[in-house]
Amino acid sequence: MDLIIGLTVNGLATGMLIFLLAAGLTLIFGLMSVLNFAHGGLFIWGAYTGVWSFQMTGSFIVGIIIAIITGLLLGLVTERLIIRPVYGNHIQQILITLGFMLVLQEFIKVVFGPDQKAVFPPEILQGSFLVGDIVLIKYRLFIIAVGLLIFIVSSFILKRTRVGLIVRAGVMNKEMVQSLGINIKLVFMLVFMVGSGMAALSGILHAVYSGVIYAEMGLEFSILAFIVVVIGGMGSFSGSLFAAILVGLAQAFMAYYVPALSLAVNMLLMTVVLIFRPQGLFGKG
Amino acid sequence: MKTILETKDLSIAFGGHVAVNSVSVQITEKKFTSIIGPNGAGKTTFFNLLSGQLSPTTGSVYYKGRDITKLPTTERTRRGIGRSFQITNIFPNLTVLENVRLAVQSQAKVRYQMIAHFLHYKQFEDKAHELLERVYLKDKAKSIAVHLAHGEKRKLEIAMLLALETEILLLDEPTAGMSLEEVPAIIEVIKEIKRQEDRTIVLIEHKMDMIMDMSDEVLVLYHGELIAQGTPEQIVENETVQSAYLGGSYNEQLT
Repeated sequence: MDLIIGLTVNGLATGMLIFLLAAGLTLIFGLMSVLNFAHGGLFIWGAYTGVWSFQMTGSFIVGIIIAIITGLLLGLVTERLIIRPVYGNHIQQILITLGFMLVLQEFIKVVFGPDQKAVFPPEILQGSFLVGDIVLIKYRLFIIAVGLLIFIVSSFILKRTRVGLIVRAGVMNKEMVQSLGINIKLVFMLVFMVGSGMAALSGILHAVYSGVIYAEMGLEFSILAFIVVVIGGMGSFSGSLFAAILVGLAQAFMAYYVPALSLAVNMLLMTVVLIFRPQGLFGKG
Repeated sequence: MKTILETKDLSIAFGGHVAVNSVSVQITEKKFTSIIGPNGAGKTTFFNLLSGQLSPTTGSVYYKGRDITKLPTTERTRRGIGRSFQITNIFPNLTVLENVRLAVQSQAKVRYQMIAHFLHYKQFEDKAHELLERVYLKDKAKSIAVHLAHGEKRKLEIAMLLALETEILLLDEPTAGMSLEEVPAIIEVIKEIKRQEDRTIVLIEHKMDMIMDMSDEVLVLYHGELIAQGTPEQIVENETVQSAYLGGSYNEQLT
């Protein structure tokens, strides 16, 4: 029993990290039809700047804030310089964002050096709770809480505010939003920035979770996010949470019971979904 | 009588095909103008040029005397040109009320107080309910738009257009794809708008009786060219129109 719970917490924590990365991706795709392969680059920049300021100041909160600010600013620059010229052209988007991803990744090595770095959680989040004979690792619970909080706040904004209504409508029908006299470019920019901020948050949380950071981590981890976007349905926010948790759990349990399959299981999930529900579990159309 | 919308030598070509060819028209303020022409005459393309979905190859569009040829759709809507589409253009997975509310809030001049008005959209909802009542959709407010019948979607679209409070309404075939039973209801809605509002309405339609009944002025497009302009009576009498479009048979239909 304690094993099952332990694995579940593991899976949920991983799932939340993937969700934070995938949520931005799915909104950016749904609203702007942009395939943003540079998303992993924003993740890794969040991780490095966050860890750097965490280690400089000793405050994890400062680290998280710096990571998010880095994400927002880099998102702004990316949208204006890289994405805006290639709206509507998927081939160009893939080429330029993949290229920019590599630029961001290599730039990490220029600024922070090419070596792997060890990262430790802040003291308050080290160790674990013991409930009966079940060990609950504090930092994992923290990740789950942050992920849920972000999901709840974002859902509230999407469902209950004016900007949220514009974003939801924009995912369904961009042209019509424009015909209503709404400046969709501004909304694009905001969504892109928020998505990037979430990617950066995922980066710093993941850095502390895995205990080590290296430049290629962004590309590796963002593949999981792409799988989640496909499983959940492109453009579906709740879909990305559901799929991220599914992928996180599948990976955690497989890693324990059938380690050889732990990487393949996500691809298998995606394949099955694509065969039976090509639009994704929550996708419309 | 003031001209509100004007085109000068407006043309657009797709590759070698000239879809709209040197069209110069003046649309009078607060009048009901209809555009007719056989399929492929360039009516919808002409609308796209007016609303900014397309940019002309040559020529210009003037709104209240100002050149708006280079302005994007968003800006034209803000200045007062709203349009509906031939293919129903609503937000399928939002509720009927949310659809209209979005249109209402897009008009609100609170862009610089976004935080203060972040959550308070009671006033928008009230306005939205009012508009739904006018198009006879009040009891469907909570329905998801995609579940509406085709005619109801059209009404919803018109409610959204009304919400924009634009001076010009461009209606692209509001009865397209409707069953015969649904048509009278939509005509009723358009007539209501015409009666109650001081707006300029430009309509593309195939239903001749509807056009002859409602229009103050009719424009006839044929192969992208404007071949006639006049009152419905003048158009019916016009020989060029008869041979080109009506095939000489419309007079018989009328009587």
